[in-house]
Amino acid sequence: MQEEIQPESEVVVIGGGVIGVATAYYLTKQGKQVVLIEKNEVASEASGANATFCTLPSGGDRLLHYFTAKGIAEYQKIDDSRELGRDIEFNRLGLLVLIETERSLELWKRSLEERLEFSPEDRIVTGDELTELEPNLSPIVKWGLYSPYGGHIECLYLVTGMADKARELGAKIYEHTKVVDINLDQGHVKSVLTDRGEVKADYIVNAAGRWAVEIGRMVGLELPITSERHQMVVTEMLDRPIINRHLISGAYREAVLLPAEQRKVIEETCFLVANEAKGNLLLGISGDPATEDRRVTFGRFHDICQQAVKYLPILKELRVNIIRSFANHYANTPDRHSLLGPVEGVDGFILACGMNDYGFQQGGIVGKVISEIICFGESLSVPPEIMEQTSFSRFLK
Amino acid sequence: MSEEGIICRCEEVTRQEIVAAIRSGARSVSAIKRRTSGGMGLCQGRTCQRLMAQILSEETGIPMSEATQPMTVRPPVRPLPINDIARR
Repeated sequence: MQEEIQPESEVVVIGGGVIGVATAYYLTKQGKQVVLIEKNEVASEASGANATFCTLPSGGDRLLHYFTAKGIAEYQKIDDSRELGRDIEFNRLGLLVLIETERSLELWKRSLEERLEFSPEDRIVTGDELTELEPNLSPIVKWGLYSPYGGHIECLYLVTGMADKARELGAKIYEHTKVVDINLDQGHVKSVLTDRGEVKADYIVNAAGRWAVEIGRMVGLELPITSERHQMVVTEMLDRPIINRHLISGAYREAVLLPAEQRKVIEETCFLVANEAKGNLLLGISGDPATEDRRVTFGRFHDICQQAVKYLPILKELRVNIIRSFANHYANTPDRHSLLGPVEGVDGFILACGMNDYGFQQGGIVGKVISEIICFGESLSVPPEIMEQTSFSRFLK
Repeated sequence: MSEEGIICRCEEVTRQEIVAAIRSGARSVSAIKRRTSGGMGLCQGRTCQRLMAQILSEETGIPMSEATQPMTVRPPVRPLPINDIARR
């Protein structure tokens, strides 16, 4: 049943999540020959099981704001041009951060200054304006940071859409195929060895998400990536929308400001998502250490629902049903900057990993710059001084 | 069955949409689910999973024994009111 693997390709991309698929997509648009290897199926890990937030970050520095803003802009182009030939359900209704305490308000005011460069209409709202934006919020929410940039994208449709388009443009995508080893020849990548055979390549892109560490070791690199588990539950379709945009609790920022090793679930850390197109809500929580288990733990199931009814008491009045739950893993780096571009000493090996919760938002721009590095020898969409900050060499100093 | 026939009632996914997903690259029931949302609704695929497997088998020649590999079962097994879960 399985077709033979193509024995040679200009580029082999490892990983069928948003980063690998976007890289394959932009490469095939430039006419490059691409083989993509995915151990499970396209969008079967974090790219198919996330909170669908396509907004600026709720933590992080200028670099993360820069990459997410650029990534969202690429998705706007994809949505406007309808180039995938399918709807990606991009609603562009932005984000509202729910702020309850003076302390949290101060943190978000500082965040607002960082955001204005990329989303000039962001502002703190309160009183009638807050009520008008989200009439069903509990009165415990006293302020909001309203950010109209971006909104919701159905990540599953985006990633499978880009994969199907890349395939149509000539990319070979092999699912249920594992990378076993990478062969080098005098400091240059030579081939990828899979459980279905060998593929010779000039370039190999490591877009393996939390498994990027194992792929890195195959060429002698120790990539500083750790995993974090996010858990989510899904409500039934609601008859009418009870929220108008993505909501996230303000305490999330306090959580993400902590160093990775201290990050734990903070009880108030609940985020809620409007799934506009179909009318389901995604309710989620983050910050647990990763395990192989993709299920939601019973304790978290309870925590998530309790937080949800605290912010949106109407969920209780309507006796909304929970129909589904899922978990995923995000790949974090110590400084919360991603790992992008070539690596000294291993010619042809290109990193596209360590996305720190924001792989989905950054996918469009990361795929684009990686394809530029391969096709033109340098990044054209992002200036070199910014790319430098994502280089692996920063960990070797 | 007609092309407009509904395969997944909860998410209102038609036969035509399932066939389109397979033709654009889906090779498993889970992959069809990711492209159409079929099987992600109130009943979590109890009815439509087998129908999707049949269409997959017809379209691709993948034997039914392989096509019926179940989607991951995700709790809760039946819909639960948020009130009951949030209560301590």
